[in-house]
Amino acid sequence: MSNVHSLTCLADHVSKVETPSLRIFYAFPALQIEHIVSDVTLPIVNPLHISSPHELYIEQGGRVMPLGDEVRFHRLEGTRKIPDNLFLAPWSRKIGVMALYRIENDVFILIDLPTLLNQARTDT
Amino acid sequence: MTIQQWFTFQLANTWLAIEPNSVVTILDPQHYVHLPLTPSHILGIIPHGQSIIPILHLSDFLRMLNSDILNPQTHRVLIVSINDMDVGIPIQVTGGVEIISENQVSNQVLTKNGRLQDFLVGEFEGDHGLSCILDIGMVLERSRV
Repeated sequence: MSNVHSLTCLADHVSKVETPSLRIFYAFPALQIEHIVSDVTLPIVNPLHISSPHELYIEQGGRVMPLGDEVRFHRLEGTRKIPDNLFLAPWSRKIGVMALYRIENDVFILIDLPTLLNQARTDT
Repeated sequence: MTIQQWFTFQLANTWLAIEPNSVVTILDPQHYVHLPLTPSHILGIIPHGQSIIPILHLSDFLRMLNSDILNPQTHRVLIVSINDMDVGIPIQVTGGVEIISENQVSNQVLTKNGRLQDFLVGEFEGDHGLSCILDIGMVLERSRV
């Protein structure tokens, strides 16, 4: 599966502190996204509990999921992956984390969209 | 006489001891960034070198009495590494490495404090009074998310 292009958005529950801290972005493989929409006619799922004003949504499999702030396409290829930490392995499997990348103080969590949405279906 | 070395630290007013070779470093208080869809005993993550480290609220996970006296945002963070699991644990006080003789260690655990007893493998009287020897590997294995 290609992760050359990924759609990323800021995880909005991260406080934008001005200290040397991390910002977390969610990333989704671009090839898994059917559409990006702003008008919602399909059922909404929100497994990442994004609470910022919902302006853009990912459409996938007859459902839409809201995106956070700072939505953009990002090329993660060539970005340094964060080494696996087995402590987080069950969490990664549960929500479909494919890899974590870090660019300075920005962490990108690349998530397999079908796994995440299936998890949301299970949880609800 | 066989001697043993234990790294001791205080958590929720209880002295705990772990194997020194599991300790990576101790950091000043950190700002944590929440990690989505994790249980309450995972406080978040912090940057560490070029990696990130998840932060475990150990006294919360162990349901220890006095767990609420620990403010994870203002306490130093003990970084441990075991079996490719790297985790930060906010602690009250570090006691450093204690050297004791083997016959000071009792394998009979009398301490009862939440679920702590389930993860203890012994106790000894040391520089800080009673210290409970914690199987930190088992703790990390059970608290994985």
